[in-house]
Amino acid sequence: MTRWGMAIDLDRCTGCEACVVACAAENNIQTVGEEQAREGRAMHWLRIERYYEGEFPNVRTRFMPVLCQQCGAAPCEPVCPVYATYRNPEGLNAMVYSRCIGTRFCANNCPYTVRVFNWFDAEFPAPLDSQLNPDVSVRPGGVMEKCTFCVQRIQAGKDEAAQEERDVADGDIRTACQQSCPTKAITFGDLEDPDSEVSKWAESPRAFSLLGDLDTRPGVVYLSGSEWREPAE
Amino acid sequence: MSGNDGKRGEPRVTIGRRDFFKVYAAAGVAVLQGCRRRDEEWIESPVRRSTALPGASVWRRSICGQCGAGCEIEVRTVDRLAKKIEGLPEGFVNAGGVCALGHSALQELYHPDRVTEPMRRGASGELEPVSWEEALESAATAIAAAPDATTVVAGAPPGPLLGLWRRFAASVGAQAPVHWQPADVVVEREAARLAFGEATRPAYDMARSDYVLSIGAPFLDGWRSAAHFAGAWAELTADRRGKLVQVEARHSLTAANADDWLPVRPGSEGFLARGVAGLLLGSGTVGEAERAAYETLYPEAPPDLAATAERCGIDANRIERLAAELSRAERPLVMVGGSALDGGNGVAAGAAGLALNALLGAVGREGGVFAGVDFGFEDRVAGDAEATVPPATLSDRLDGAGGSNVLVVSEADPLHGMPGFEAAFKGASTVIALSAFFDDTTLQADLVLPIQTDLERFQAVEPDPVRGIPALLIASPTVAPRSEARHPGDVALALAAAAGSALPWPGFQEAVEASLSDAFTATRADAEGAGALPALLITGALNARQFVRRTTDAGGLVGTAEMRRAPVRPAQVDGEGAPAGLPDPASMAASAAPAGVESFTLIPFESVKLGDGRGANRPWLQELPDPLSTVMWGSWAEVATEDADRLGIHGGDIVRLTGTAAEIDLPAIVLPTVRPGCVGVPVGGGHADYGRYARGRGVNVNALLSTDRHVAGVGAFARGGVRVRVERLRRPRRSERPVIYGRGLRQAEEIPVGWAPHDGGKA
Amino acid sequence: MTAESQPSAAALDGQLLGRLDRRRPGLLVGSLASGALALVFIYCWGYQIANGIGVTGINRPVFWGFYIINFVFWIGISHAGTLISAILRVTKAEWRRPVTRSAEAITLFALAIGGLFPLIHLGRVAIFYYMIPYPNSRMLWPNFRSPLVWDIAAITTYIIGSALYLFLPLIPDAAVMRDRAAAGLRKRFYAVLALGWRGTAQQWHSLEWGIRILAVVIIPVAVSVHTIVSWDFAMTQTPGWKSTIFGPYFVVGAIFSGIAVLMIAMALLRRGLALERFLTDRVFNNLGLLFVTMSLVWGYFTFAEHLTVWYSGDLFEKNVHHVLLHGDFAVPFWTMVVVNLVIPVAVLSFARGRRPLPTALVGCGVLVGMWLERFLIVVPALSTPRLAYSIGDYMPSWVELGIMIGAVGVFACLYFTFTQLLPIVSVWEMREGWRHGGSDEAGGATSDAAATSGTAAAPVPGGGGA
Repeated sequence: MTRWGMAIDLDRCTGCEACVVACAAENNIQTVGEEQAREGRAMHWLRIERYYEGEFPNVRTRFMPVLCQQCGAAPCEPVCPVYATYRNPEGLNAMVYSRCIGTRFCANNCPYTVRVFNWFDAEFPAPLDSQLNPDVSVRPGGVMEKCTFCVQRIQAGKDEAAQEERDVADGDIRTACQQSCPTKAITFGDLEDPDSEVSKWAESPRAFSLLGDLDTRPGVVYLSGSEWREPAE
Repeated sequence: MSGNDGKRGEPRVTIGRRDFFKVYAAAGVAVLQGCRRRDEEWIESPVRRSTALPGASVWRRSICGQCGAGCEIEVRTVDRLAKKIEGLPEGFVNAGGVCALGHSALQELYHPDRVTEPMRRGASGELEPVSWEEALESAATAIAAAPDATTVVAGAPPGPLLGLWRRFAASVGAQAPVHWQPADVVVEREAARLAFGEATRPAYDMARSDYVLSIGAPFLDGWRSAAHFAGAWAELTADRRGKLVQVEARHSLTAANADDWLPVRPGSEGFLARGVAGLLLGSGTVGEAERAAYETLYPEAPPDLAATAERCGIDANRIERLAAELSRAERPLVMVGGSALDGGNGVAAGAAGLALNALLGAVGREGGVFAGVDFGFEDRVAGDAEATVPPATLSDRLDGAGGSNVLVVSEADPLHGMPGFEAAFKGASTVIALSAFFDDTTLQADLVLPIQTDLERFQAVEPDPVRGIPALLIASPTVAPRSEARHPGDVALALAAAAGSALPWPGFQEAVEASLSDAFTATRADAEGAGALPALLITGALNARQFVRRTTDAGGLVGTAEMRRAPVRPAQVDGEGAPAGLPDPASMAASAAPAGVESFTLIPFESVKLGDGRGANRPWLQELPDPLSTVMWGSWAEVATEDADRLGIHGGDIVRLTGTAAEIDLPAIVLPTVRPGCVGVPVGGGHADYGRYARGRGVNVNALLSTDRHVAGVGAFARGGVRVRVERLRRPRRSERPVIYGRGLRQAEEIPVGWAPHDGGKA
Repeated sequence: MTAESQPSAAALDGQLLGRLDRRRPGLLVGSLASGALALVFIYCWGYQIANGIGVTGINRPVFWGFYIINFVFWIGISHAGTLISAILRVTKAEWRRPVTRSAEAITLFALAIGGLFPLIHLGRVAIFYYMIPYPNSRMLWPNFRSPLVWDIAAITTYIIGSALYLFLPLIPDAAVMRDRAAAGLRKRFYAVLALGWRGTAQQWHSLEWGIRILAVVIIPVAVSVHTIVSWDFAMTQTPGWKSTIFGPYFVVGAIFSGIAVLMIAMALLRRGLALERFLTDRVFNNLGLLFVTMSLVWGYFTFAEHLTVWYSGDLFEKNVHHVLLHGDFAVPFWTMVVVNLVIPVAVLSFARGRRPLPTALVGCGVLVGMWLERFLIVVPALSTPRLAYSIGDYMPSWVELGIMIGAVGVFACLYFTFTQLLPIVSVWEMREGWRHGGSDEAGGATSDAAATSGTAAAPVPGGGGA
C-alpha cells in the first residue's frame, strides 16, 4: 500500500510564499477579491503562518506552511453527512466536490483550519481562464475544498509509470508547492516506503506532527530544530 | 500495487512472424519519414518536443522576465495555452526555484486588461486604436522631428535587448538611453568600482560560504534573484553549517530568516561596516596583505566600538560578537545591497561593506565575492553606441530639452516608479509607450504600442551575475502572442526603419543570432582576443551558422566555474595617481532629525508580492498575504509597537504620513519587529490604472520622496533616510480596513503546535 | 375565579370558538405585519439562493453563524410546547387545559422554522436531499456517523410526533368546528380534520389512550432532539464545543427557553382570551417557581461548564474561555448571565414577581439570553481556532438578519393562521375541566382522572355533535 505523505523542513522555509502562488496556479484556486478577502474568505489551500519570538531588538520571525494535513484519523471525515470527504486507500483525505452540499461541518472540525469554502461561484474573467489547469475541476459556489496533495499529479505520475510498465519511483510525483520551493524545504512521497525521501525525513529527530497530541495522525511531517515546537508551559 | 500485479498477470500480446514483419516494415517507413525531416529537428533540445496532442501537456523552456535575474523556467502548455510555470531544475540562476512573482507571469500573459492593439491619442484627447503601420509612422515622424531631444527609457534587463535599444538610440540620433532598473544597481556598481576597482555587480558565492554578513541586502525579498539566493541560503544554513547576519533597519523577510538581525539605525550601515573593520583589524586575525589592502582603501582609523554602537543603535556586545564570529569563520562573506545603498551615503556605505571582503580575504575566494562578468552580448548588439544612463538623470534631461522632447518608454513605468517625475514628464511633447498594460506612463502616452509579455517572446538575456559565471540565456516563445502584441526589440527595429535609419537586422532574434555569429567568428579568428568568447564554448561547432543554431537550441551559452574571477583593480584608481582613499561613511555626519515634529524615518521596500509594483496587476499576488504583515490587496505602513502605543495607533487605523512634498493616508500595521522611529511602506501600490486588479489600489509611497535627494557620487535617487511625520487619522471605515490574512500576533513560545513524534501518518 | 361564574357549555363555546368567526382589526394588523416579515424571509432566502451563500457574513474560520444559532434557538423554543405539555399531561396538571394547544402549536411551528435553518445554511441547498437516506442508483447512503444525519432523524421524528400530538386532541374540536360551519370549503376542511369524529365512547377511549401514549413517548423524543442538536457541537474536537455536559445543558436550556415562551404565551392568552379563571395567578406562581428553578439549573450547568474548562488549563480551551469572559465576547456573555440568571432569580424569588406581567417580561429577557447563549456557543469557539494565526471574527450580513427576523414573521404567520382556523384553546379539554370542576381552588382527586376536581356542575356534552 501507499501512504502519500509530505515533509516540510521549517528550518529551510523562508516564508517567500512561492508555494502559495504555485498552488493557486496548479489547482485553479479562485482569487476572491479585496472585499471577500477582507471578510476572511481568501481561499489559499496553503498558507504561511507567521509567529514572533522574543521582543525587539532580539525578535525573530518563524514561518510555518500549513496545508491539509491529510490526517490518518481525520476529524473532518466522520462529520460530513454526505461522504463528500473521505479517506482514500492511499491515505488522502479526498474531496468529492459534486457530493458536497456545503454544511461546512468538516471545516469546523478541522483543528488546522485548512479547509476553505467557495462562498460564491469562481470568476476567471477571460482570458484569465486560459490558464486554468485542465486536470483540475473549477469548483462551484457552495462547495468546500482544500489541499489535495495535487492528486492530479499523483494520478498523472501513476499513469506515466503504468505506461512505462514500472512502479512509481520516489520523486516521480512532485506537488506544486514542493516543485516551486527555492530552498527545497518540502518533500513528498510514500510514507510506507522506508527508502523514500519523505520517510527518511520523517525519521529525523527534528520531525514532529502539528498538534500531534490530537492524534490525528497527519500525513504531513514538520521538521524543526527549534525549541518553539514544544508546547507552551 | 495490486492493480499493477493484475496487469502483469495478463497474457501478453503475442506477435507472430507476419506481424513481426509488419511491425518492421512500419518502423522502417517511420524511420525513412523521419530522415526526410530537416536536420535541425534532430538536434538535441532541452525542451521536450511533443506532437502536441489535444489535451496533452507540453513543457517548454523559457526565461522568466519578471525581473532581470534571468531565472530559467519550464512552462506547461496544453492546447497551446500556458498553464503553469515551474523552475527549470538545471536552471543556471535558480536551479529549479521560482518566486511568487515568477509564477504570476501567467496572469500577466492572460490578463483581461492588456493592451491589445496600437493606440494613438486622437483629437478628442482619448486613445484610439490605429494600425501598426500608422502607429509606427507617427512614432517615427515624432522621433525624426527631434532626434536629439529623443530619450529612450528601456526597462529591459541587461543583455542583447538593452544593447538593441542603445543601438536604436544611436542610429536615430537620440541620446544614450536611460536604463530603467532597480534603484540600488547603480549604487551597487559604483560601490563595487570603489571597493574592487570594477564597476560590475558583485557576484556572491553564498552557498559555499560559512558566514554571511548581509548589510542591507534583502536577498530573500526579491533582491536580484530571490530564487537563487533562497537556494544558496538553504545550502549556507543546511544542518546549521553556516550563519546569516542581517544588518538592516527593517525586519525584511531576509532579516526574519537571519540567525541574527541587527536592526541598525537607517543610514548607519556603512558606519557599522567601518566599526566592524576596526574590530577585525584589532583582533589580530587579519593577514598583513589584507590589512594593507584595506588600509589603502581607508587610510583613516576606523571608529571605535562605542562610537559604532552609539551611531548604529545596536548593543556593543552584538557588534563585538559579529566581529568575533567573522574573524573565526573560515569563509566569511559580506554582501551589500538594498537599504544600505538607499541613503545619501549609499555609495560610501556600499564600498565600506564590500571592502570588508578585502579585509576578510573573501575577494575571489571560494565562498567569497567574485566579479560579475558577462559575455558582453549587450555591447556586441549595441556596437559602439553609448552606454545607458541611470534613471535619475531622466528629469534633468527632460527639463533641459525644454518642452520638445520625445520620450520612448519601453517596459518601464517611470511615472509610477520615479518620485516627482510628473512635472518633468509633462514637459515631454510626445510620449511613445511600449507596454502590455495601461500603466501610469502608458495612460499619459500619446502613442501606445502593445508588446508581448515574456512568455510570448523570443528572449535573450544575460542573467544577473549572481554566481560569477558568465552566461547568455536564450529561449523561444512559449505561446503565440495574444492579439497584435509585438516583441519590443522588433518594435525598436521597425521604429528605426520607419525613422529612416534602419538597423541591419529584420528582427530581434536575427540581431541576437548575428551577435552570436560575430562572437563565433571573432573567437575563431583570435582565441585570445578581447571581448571574444572563451574558446571552450565554441569547440565542436564547424561554422558560425552551426554555432548559432546549436546555441539557440541549447538555450544559450553558459560559462564554467573556471571563468569566475576576482574583480580586477586597475593599476591606478581613477587614473589620477595614488588612491586617495574611499569616502568614509564613518566620517559623515548622521542626518539630524528635524525638531518639533513626530519624525519617523521612512523605509520604502519591495515586498515579495508586488516587487517594484510590477506584480500589482495579478490577482494571485494581490491576494497573496505579505509574509510579515499578512496584508493582502493594498498598501500598509509598518509601525513599531512602541511607537503605536505612544501615538495611540491601533492595528488597522488609518495613519497619515507627511513628507516634504506630499502626504499619504494608509492603514497601519503594528508589528513588534519594527525598529522604533521607523515606518516601512511597500512600494508598488497606488497605480492610476494598470488593469482592474491594480487600479487605485493602495498608495504610491514614492509621493513622499523628493527628487532632489541623490546618493552622493552617482545619479541615483536616495529613497532612504526620508523623514516623515506619522499621525493617526481615524479608525478605518469598513472599506478601508486593511485586508489581513493572519491575525494572531502570537509569540512563538505560545505557538500551539503541540509535539508528538511522527508516526508516519498511519491510520 | 370562583365556581359561581362557571359558564354554560354554549357560553364557553362562544367564548372560545366565537373568536374564529369574528375578524378583529388587531389580529388583521398582526397578520399583515407578520406576512410582511414572512415576505422578507422569502426574499432574503431567495436572494441568497440566487447569489450564493457568500451573501452572509460567515467566513473562515467562522463557518457557522446566525443560521445555526437560530436553528438551535428555534429548536429550543419548540420545547415550549410538546415537552412541557406532555409533562403536564402526564402529571395531570389541571391548569394545563387552556395552555396545551397553544404550546403544542408553538412546538410544531418552531420546529418547522428551526428545521429550515440548516437548509438555509447549506452551501448548495438544491441538493440537500443527499443527506436523506433514499434509494438511488449510485448506491450512496448518507454518512450515519455524522451528527447532522442524526439531526435529520431526530428532528423528523420530533416534528411528526409533535404534529400528531397537536393533531390528536384537535380532532374533537375539529368536529365541533365542522358542525358549526356552514356547508362549503370550510366545512369540508374541518370534516377532513375531524376524521369522522362522532364522539362515541370508543372514539373517546381511543383518543385518550392515543394522547396518553404519545405524551409518554414524546418526552424522550424531545429530550433526544436537543441532545442531538448539542452533539452537532459536542461531537467535534473544536475547543469550546467538545464537552460531555452539552447534552443535558442543551436540554435544560431548551426547556428554560421553552418555559420562557410559555410564560409569554400564557400571559398573552390570558389577556387576549380573558382566561383569568383558568390561568390564575396561582398557575403563574407555580410556573414561575419552575421557571426560576430552570434558571438556577441553567446557571449551575453554565458554571460547571466554564469551571471545568478554566480548571483544565488546556491552552486552546482557555483561549475560547478568555474571549468569552474577558475578550471580544464579554459583553454578550455577561448580558446573558444577567438576563438568564440574575434577573430571573431576582424577580421570581418573590411572590410579587411571579405574577403574569413580570414573568412574561422575565421570559422575554430569557429569550434574548438564550439566543445569546447559542451565539456564544457557536461564534467564539469558531473564531478562536487552535492555530492562532487563523483567528477570525464574524458580523452577520443583512441577509442573515433579514432571515432571522423574517423567520419570526413566518412563525407568527403560521400561528395567526392556526388561531384563525382552529381553536387555540382546546374546547373539549376545557369542558372536561369543567366537568371536573375546573376551578383550581377545589381539592381532592376524582377516581378516573386523578385531576383536581370539585363539585361537578356543568353538564358535559359528550362530543362535538350538537
